[in-house]
Amino acid sequence: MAIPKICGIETEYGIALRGVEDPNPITASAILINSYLSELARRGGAVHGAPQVGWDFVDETPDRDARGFMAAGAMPPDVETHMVNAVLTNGARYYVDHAHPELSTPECADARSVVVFDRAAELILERSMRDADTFLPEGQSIVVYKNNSDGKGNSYGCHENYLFDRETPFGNIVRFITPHFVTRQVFCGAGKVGSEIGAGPEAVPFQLSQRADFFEEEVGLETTLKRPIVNTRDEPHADPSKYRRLHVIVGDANMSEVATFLKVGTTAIVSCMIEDEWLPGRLVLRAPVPAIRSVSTDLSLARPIELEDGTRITALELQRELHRLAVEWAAARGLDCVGADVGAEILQRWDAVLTGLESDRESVAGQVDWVAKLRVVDAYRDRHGLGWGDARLRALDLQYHDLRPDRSLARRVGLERLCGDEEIEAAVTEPPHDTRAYFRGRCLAKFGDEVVSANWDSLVFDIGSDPLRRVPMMEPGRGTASHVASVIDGSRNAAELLDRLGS
Amino acid sequence: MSCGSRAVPERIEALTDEQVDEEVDMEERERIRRTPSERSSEQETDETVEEPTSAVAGDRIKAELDGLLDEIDEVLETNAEEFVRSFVQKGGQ
Repeated sequence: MAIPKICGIETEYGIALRGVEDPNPITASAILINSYLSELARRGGAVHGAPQVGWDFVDETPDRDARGFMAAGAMPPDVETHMVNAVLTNGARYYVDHAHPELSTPECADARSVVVFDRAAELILERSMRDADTFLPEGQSIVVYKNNSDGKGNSYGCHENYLFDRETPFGNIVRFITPHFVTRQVFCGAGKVGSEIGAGPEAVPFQLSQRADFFEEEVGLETTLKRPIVNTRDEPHADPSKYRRLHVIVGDANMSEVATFLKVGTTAIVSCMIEDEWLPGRLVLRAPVPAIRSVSTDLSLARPIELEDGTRITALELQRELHRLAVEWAAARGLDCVGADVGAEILQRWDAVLTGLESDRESVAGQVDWVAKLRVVDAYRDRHGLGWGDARLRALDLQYHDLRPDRSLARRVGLERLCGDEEIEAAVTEPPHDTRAYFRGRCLAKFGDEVVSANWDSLVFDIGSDPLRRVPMMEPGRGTASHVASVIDGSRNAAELLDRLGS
Repeated sequence: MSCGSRAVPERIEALTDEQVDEEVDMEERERIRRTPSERSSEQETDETVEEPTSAVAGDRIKAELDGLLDEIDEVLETNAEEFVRSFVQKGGQ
């Protein structure tokens, strides 16, 4: 039986420090995040203590491979422990990764909740820019972009995470999730002007995905070189005897809320179908790496890719088939593991976006980032009579992802909204109520001074007596408001909390 | 790291008034700039009922886009060539 698909998104943002010769992006990222944290600390109140709480790396094992071995010559990703690394009261983690600011949403119970916390993350980055501006010398400013490449061959990721039953063989996950990863870009690609692997503007004027250029392997552990379509990092941040965490590195960062909803929602459903052994072997691809690039660079959506049995099928047809199977699966098994109401909305919007792409592409310009972007790029090209190689088109592409409200193109193209400004505002400081992130976030808000460190699956308290007390949170579905709200609310300090929790 | 957190509050304190003014100004600009696209999305709802043919829908989309392109000319970086050239990132994950 499929287990609840607790999920989340971690986004590395592009960053530019304006007004400085040869700026250092690591310093810029640290300034950006520290400015936000300092401003939080200055304002005190509900965020009291949070900026002082550091990340605890005890649980990090990024070099463990889900296939149970270490590939010869493979480079495990480094974990940088010396940089800014904060836990926020909404349960998120905000830190410097490589040379980018990165924000990981808290664990969410469903795709809609991910959208809310992904938008809250944008708001946090937007405020960080504002806070950094008050701190930086006159003439300098930091600009953040929610995209995945600089147009010059350097890419940074927007990763998704899904909780999986440990009993599902990893080989099955690879086999059945790959066709979805290769083809879902038809509705969740963020769009890109040009190519970064040598194709000129005549061959590839525009493509569906920001990231497809950068995938060279079908499966592997790496994330920065020879990126694999399926990443094998085996680091569940939960009880490893019961759970896996599928770490997805193949996706684009979306500006469209509906695209984020569909990206996470359809992947959660396909993941449940894999756990339930619902997907047939005939949908497996013969050559996923060439296929992901072929789909990305085919604006007609008509170029077929090949299945293992030699059948040729378009990405849209493959998605249509996955959707049909998902409807059957939902009828037989129910949608509880992706949230009943949310699951129904995923199926309905999945159908609608495929219908739109099949019949009248313009009709999904309010939902699909690449369609929205291409529409504007085409219109701008027409108006100014520009060739595809013109720098202004690349500038438009970048500007689409600018997170400054007065500069963002994505905020101007009429993208449909799924969540309200009020719930996004609340999610900047309040954790989700329906995962263990509730316990993490509320403890930081209420007992921040007594929390020594935090990570995904534990909190460490200093209650004034030796030794420090670690509270393990190995079950991502426990520590919700219904489990612990009354215990937290009724405790005056961490010592009382720990007494009541019986730890 | 070049920004010690202790140095920050003083500086922010000193800039508090300016900061608030700037925010109001930004919100105001944002409101003004939003108006055209909000208006066009209202139009969209009204017109979809009356104008089912794709040719008319095409004209409507073109009119919407024209307004948007005017805005884009305003917000697009003035020196696109330099802007694009200087946007260089270190690779990440």
